[in-house]
Amino acid sequence: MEKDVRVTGPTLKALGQLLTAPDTGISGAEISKATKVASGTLYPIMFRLERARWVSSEWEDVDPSEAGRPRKRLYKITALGRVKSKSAITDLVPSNGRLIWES
Amino acid sequence: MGVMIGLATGAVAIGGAFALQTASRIAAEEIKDWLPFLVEKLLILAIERLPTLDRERYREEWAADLFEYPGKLTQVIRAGGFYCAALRISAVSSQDDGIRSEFRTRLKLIFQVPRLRVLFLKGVSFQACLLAFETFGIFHYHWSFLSNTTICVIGVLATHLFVKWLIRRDTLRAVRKALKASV
Repeated sequence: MEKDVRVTGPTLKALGQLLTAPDTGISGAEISKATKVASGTLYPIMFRLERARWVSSEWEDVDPSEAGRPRKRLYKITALGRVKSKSAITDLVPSNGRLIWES
Repeated sequence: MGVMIGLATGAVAIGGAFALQTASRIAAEEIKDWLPFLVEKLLILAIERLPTLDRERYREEWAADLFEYPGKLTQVIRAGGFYCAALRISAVSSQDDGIRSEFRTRLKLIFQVPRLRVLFLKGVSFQACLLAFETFGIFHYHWSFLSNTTICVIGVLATHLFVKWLIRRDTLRAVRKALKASV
């Protein structure tokens, strides 16, 4: 079921990072490293985005015993996510060099 | 006399500094040794706060996340974050699906795991028999301090606690295995 997502600053950062790797996918740790969003904030955001179908996720295609590490969960932005994130960004209008929400 | 006092004070100061340095080194090593245990505990606590169906997924995902951060202190901070994330995910999930759905999921999970299914059925059948015995008066326990109903309640509680312990033990083993792979 599609749900509405509250687009906050960290959500936009995560979406921006997902847009940089639309085909290969990106793990939560990589998003966290790139955006400096803490794990306690990032994973609930990814959970909400996934529920809203803005983002999809799948396991990395490696054997954990061969790789010697657990599999990563790779997040990818969906077509709906691209459209929604673009509309969320266009809702922001520039004001004194900073982005603010349009009332 | 003054020189002696000065020398004694100096010796005490040097000895104190040395003792402090040794103590702080031991304390640092002690804390360092405890950090993996703390990470493991936090991860287990976090996983236990998640909705039942999401536990397996996040256990592996978060173990892989920790693998990308080799620093022990960073891992503790990340694991603490996972606990907060689990609470938030659980809140969002129960808001969307409701508590009834979580109950249904847990019930489904019991029937997916053969050992738990057997245990659950044994518990249910045992308690059903006891209730039947009491209702129809087929059989009576002659314990003055315990009625059949009390025995049933204790049976249900014991079964519940045992199943909970089994799940916790399995989670602990899985988390340890995943964390071992990350070392």
